Amino acid sequence: MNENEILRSEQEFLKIENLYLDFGVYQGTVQVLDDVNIEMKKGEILGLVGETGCGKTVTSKSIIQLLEANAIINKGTITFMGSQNLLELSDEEIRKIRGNRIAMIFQEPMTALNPSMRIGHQIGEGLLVHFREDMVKKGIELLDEDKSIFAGLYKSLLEKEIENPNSITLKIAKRIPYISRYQRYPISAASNESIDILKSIDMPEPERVVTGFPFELSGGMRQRVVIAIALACNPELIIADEPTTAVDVTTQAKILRLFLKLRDEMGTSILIITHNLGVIAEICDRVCVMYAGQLVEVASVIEIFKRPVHPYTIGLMGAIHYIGDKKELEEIKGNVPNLLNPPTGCRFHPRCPKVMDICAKDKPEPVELSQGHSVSCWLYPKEEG
Amino acid sequence: MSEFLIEVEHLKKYFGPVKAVDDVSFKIRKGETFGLVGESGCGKTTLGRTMLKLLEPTDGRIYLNTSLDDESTRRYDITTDARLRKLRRKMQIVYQDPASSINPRMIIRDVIGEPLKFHKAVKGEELLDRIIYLLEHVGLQAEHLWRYPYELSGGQRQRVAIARAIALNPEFIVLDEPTSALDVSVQAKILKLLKQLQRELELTYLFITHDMGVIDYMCDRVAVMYVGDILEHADKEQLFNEPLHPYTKALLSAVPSMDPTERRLSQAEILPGEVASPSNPPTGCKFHPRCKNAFEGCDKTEPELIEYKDRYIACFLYTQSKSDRNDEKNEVNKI
Amino acid sequence: MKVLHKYILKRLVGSFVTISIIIFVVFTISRMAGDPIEAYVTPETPPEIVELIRKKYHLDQPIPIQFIYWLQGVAEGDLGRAFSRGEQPVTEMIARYLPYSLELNIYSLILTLPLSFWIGTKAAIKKDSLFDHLTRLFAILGRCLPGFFTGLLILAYLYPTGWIVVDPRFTFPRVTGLPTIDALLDRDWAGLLEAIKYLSGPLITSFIGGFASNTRILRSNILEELSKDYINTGKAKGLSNDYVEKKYARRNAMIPFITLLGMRFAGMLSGSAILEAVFNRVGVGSISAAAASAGDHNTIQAFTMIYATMLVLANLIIDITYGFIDPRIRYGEEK
Repeated sequence: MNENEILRSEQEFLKIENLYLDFGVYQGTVQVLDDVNIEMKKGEILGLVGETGCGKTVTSKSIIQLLEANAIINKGTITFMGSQNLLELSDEEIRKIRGNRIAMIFQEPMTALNPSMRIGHQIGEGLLVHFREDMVKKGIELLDEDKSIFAGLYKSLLEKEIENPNSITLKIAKRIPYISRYQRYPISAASNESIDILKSIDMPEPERVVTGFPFELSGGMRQRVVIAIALACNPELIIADEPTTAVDVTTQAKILRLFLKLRDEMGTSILIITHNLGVIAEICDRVCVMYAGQLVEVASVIEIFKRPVHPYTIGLMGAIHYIGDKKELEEIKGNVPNLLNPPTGCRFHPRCPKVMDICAKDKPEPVELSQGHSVSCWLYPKEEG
Repeated sequence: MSEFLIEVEHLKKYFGPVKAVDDVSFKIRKGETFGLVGESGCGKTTLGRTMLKLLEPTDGRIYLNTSLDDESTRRYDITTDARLRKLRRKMQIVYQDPASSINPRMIIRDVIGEPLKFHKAVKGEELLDRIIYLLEHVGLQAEHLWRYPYELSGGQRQRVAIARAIALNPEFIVLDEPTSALDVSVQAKILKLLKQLQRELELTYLFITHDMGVIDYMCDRVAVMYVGDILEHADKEQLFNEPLHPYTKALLSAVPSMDPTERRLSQAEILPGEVASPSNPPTGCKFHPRCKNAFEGCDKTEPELIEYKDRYIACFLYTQSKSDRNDEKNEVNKI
Repeated sequence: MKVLHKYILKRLVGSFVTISIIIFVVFTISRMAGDPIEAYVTPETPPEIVELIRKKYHLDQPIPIQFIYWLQGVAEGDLGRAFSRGEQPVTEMIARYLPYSLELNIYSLILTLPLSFWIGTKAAIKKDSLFDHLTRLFAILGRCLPGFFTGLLILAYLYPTGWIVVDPRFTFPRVTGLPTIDALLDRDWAGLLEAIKYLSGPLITSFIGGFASNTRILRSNILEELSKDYINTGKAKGLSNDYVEKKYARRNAMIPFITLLGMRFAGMLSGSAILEAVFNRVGVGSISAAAASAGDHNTIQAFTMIYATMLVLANLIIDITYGFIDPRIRYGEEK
């Protein structure tokens, strides 16, 4: 690759362009995303910040097409490492990417795990989906040590699977009660792999955890299992949706450290969605601030905290009190708008302390103030010519 | 007359083998905001509810220093007093989840009116006036009277919960994570409202939360709980500037910085192991298996919460030196 | 002891106790409601004969003693005579009429379950689609329309077509008592058709009701599972939507469903006097109704014993199945 191409591929790790998204509900159309543009570099930790209804979760879910059935994407492209538009990939194609190259972590650890599936199986399931052949081979290896009568039969079935996964023999074998047990061996193999994954994230007693069920684990441990699931296939991008909101501050610290370790040692890029500014400050490189479906400000983490420019960002920073903070809490007047009938122009204008006439009429375009710091606000209008 | 509004003595709440609250003692001054902080499962919610006798205490006493029916102020034992119903007017609670703590089938007027009607505090026309007054006091409007909870936002619902709590002019309110389920900007508004109400109505708060920033903003004194015990409690400034108990130190070290140029994640003390189980706690000091300062004797007996310099602490690191020198003083100061 | 074993043992013992209590209570009540002798005699019967009869049936003894005699009889296979049907031995009655109810219920279950499963899942996955709305409409109708109404409608429309038969003439020998099976065993194809036609009316009617409620429950269980995050986690791994919705959601939705099923099945076994009346299909329902109104305590007692046993057994089996499916019980270890 020549220099330009290298530069481009580094910068176009993940690119969300002109994303417009609606939800069709009974009362009408909820205009959830209004021209969202996000770029992510390889190896960076990008924070997506905003409050309820700002569209951060929807944006991240659209990357791997994990939206509800009533989501309508009107316009927009999402490219990953220069691929074709992820939004246009078929179901089969996007499934190859999910869990494999892009993994997602959800917020609620208590319900994020299947209660009737063993932990090891759940973590290893990704491997079974994306690296089936390897798991089957490992399953065969497990059988080599098995002296039971059926071992030979299972082994030949597994070998058949490598040869011809769609064979009719297999289809039949799957339905016969005792014979279908041959499938347990690749699952065990995947389960064993997951022990290593759990070790790498400092889970205590991984061998025991792997054979157990979610109900045996605490919230913090479940969240770590969720992370293990995401790591199973060594993804290039991890999307973490509020990964620490439901856990204690001490578990949060462990998880954040883990994210840093992943980025530093494995080069994994992380898109972290949160409303917790402390999390942002601690691990993010860059931050995107969203409000009511619009991207209002993008900057490096230091710029966002030290020199926020958009009135919403400033309001958000002012609304948070940290230990030792001498300033009084600032309020943002008004409420988050109903997106069935969103405000015109800049959606923040009804609540903005610096509102001007033009704010209700037109939507401001993003303007780059300094290297990497852009804002969409009529206080910083785009220069003509 | 005591400066303390609430006195909790050796309070215990066990659910069978689960020792949710295990011998807790402290006092709250009138007009103060007393913060209760700890990780999930430490028993802070149970403690808050038991203090109002919403849960029946397994053991211990709770005293409220107040006046009923134009009598002079005296000390009431909430745990045994037969006039609990009247005493309840003095103490209220605001819960974490505004969606489930308000009856979804009642309009707001009735949600706020219910305690007023039940205690026969106000009647007839006065009732509606009072409800409107309360609504406006918490930042809502009269038009909200006729709405159902689902028509309001989370912040608005929480305001309704607060209006309901102050309806009977209580003196003491337990706030159980009142803003944890709300957006950051909404949280700011509710916290400011709570402070304002405290000034205006001379309220005393027990503020339960896991968010240190909120504790710093709201509270005067802070208690740190771990698996049913209070390990340390002190003035907020002292606790944050100079935490003494190893657990408090670890907890505070894990709080993320709000300044990206002064990151502290690498200095966060990661405690080994997991939080102890309340049904099968370690012997002696419940924190000792995870404590880097643990020594011989920490696993034998539970340290008592005693006064040490400017605070109360339950840790043998401090008891040892104290007991050597001031046995008598300990006897007097033990709660 | 393993949680599972303890669980099963508890259930077994509990079931036994429940059955015993039910039988004894019903026995007592039916003997106490009026003078049981009246079932055997008329006002004209001379007093000496009355006394003889009293002694013969032990009706002069206290109730607990009578119960013991009755139990003795049960052990010998003698349940007394059913005077509401002309002195026929109760055991004979059971053998004759129970299979009809059994047949109906078994086929009903076989038909309803897989269908409700399939349609319930589909409706949940395609929530708010036309399919879903139609399913729900049908389910509500099925639930609201009373059995006799649907039954009569079906009878009215299908009887003329000859697809329903209300006075079957069976020529094949009785082996099991279930007409369809016996016809099959005898290879009497015409008889089989006749048996099916005799079955069709009540089968369709009870199917409509059963299908309706099963589908609704399953649909809501699956909807609840689909709203949980593990569905998203599964999809995010790269599993197909189909796999996740079916394998993941269904398995977990089944757990609460199975509990309900047990009760449903046992309820079915008690028969429906109404359906039996509509379609002239004499089974457990009609017999017990007649016995109840005639005060035929032998029959009442016997059938109650059967109902109770079947109900408790069905629940026992379901509970045990549950124990195997829910990993919390199957793999839990007693601490």
